[in-house]
Amino acid sequence: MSGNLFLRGVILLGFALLMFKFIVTGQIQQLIAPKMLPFLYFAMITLFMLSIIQIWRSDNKHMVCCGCGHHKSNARFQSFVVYVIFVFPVLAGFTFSNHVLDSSVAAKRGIQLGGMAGSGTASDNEEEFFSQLFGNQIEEVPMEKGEKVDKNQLGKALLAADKVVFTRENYLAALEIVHNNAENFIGKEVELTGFVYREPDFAKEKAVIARFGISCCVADASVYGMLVSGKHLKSIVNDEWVKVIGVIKQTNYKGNVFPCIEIKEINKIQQPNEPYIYEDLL
Amino acid sequence: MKRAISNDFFAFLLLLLFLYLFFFYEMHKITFTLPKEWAIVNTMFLGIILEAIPFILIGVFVSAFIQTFISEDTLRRLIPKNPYVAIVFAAFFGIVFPVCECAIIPIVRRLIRKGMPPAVGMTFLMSAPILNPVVFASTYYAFQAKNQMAFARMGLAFLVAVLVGMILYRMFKQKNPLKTKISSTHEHVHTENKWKATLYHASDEFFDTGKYLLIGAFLASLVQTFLNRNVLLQIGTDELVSPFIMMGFAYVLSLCSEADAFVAASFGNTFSAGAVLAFLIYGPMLDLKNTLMLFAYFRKRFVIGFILVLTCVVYFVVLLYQTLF
Repeated sequence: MSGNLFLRGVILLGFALLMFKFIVTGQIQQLIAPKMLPFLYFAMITLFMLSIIQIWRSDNKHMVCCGCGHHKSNARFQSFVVYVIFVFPVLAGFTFSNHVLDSSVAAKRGIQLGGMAGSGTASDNEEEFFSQLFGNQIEEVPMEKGEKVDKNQLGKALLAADKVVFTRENYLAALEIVHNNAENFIGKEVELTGFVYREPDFAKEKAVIARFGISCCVADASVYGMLVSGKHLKSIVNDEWVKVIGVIKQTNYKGNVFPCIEIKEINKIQQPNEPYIYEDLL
Repeated sequence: MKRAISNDFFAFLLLLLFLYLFFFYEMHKITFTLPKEWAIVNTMFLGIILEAIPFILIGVFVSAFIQTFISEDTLRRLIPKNPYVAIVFAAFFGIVFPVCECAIIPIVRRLIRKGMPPAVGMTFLMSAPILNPVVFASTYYAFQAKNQMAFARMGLAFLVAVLVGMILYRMFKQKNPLKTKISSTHEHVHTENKWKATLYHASDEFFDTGKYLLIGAFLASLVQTFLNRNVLLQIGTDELVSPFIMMGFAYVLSLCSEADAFVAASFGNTFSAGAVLAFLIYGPMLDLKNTLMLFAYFRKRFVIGFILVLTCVVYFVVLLYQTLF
């Protein structure tokens, strides 16, 4: 049975190496959210240790594994299938895992205009934000990379700014603020980056500029975006990454009023290295 | 002996392959790609398993720890004598002992084998992935504008866990629901060192549990890729039908209980609060990913009984909630 223990050790090592490679190349960001990384470090180190132990144990003949009595020929085939099940994800991970979610996924999941749908109505926070709004002025946008998004602060900053700039860090919060308080933002200049997505019934000059938001892993990805319109869009196909500069106005969509960006300028860009945004906890 | 050598040889080749892929293979330089939809399946699959593996490992370690360090007698003394009291106690236990749905199954299996009454064990299995601070926080955050959702989720999950636990107790009493076959594999690792034994148990159980996780994760990633969510809306947003649809949806998606609130929130505008709650309660208690694990460890009759009872109880509790609020 030493063969099976050795094989198990190798498979565990395979998983550990795969995780290590994902982490080193940064590709892990396309599979799970940064806040889950500590758990992944833990798993990688544990798997690595377990693999060493298994391999060492396989060399230790008197420490016979307890499962060995059961391996008849049928069981042997079964155990072969089990090992294939374990080897498969490691190979798939090493070879074909660099796919970034695109508009075909967005079409199946449905798109969310304006940040998180659960917060579609103005919360107490926002009422408070408006009562304070015109009292004190804030000059600079307090968004630093990795800094927690404070919606009140951000809302004031966005309203005070000459131009509303959506960044990876403020993306969700800013979308939500703009959608919940659309009337205050009409006429404001705005800059937004994302991929182009169109519902089947959209005209050529209409689209959503969207990004995928992930809370734990890609399986829970949702699509968040904002309506845009303008002649410039005609030449741009779905899934193209663009940076849009325009002015906020309002439009009717599916019987509701939504803010929409009237495009002044649109530039195709490379898909960013960090295409996703993360729904950070609190 | 010959067999062992051929296995070793195969394993050695595999090791070389892994090392080659690790050091020399560069994905972006290869022009050959999978068909797009399968590339998405692959991405989803890897996302789900990388997310789950740390928690499976935690579950496996806790289980191995219980196996080596907690005796049957200790466990018996800790559990209240009255089964109904024990069930309520188990439903609360998740609050102090947060485990998600991947980690919980090996732990509960171990506890039942150590003599915990099955109904109590299953109550713990249902409540622990929901009634814990982490899940409360993420639900609260995902539903900022409707923060009653987080409280309703906790309250109803508690109610469901206790009700289902009591019904299971009436149905199965103390009958051992575990398959006996598997138990022979792990019970006799002879070793002098308890810590070493824990590690051996852990890696054996990782393979034992992991295979069901991998198959389940693969099925879930197929659903993730090919299911068009707009279809759900067409099937119905009717008060009576929608909770059922959302339960089925939670079942096939197999999301982590920490992350599912964000997906549920995306349905907040189209489905009723009751239907969204059905999604939030049913999913962590039972999904595609862990049904296979349940069938592997428990007797078929027991698992089917559990699934039926759980489904009915969640449905009726949600209907009750809808009529009351």
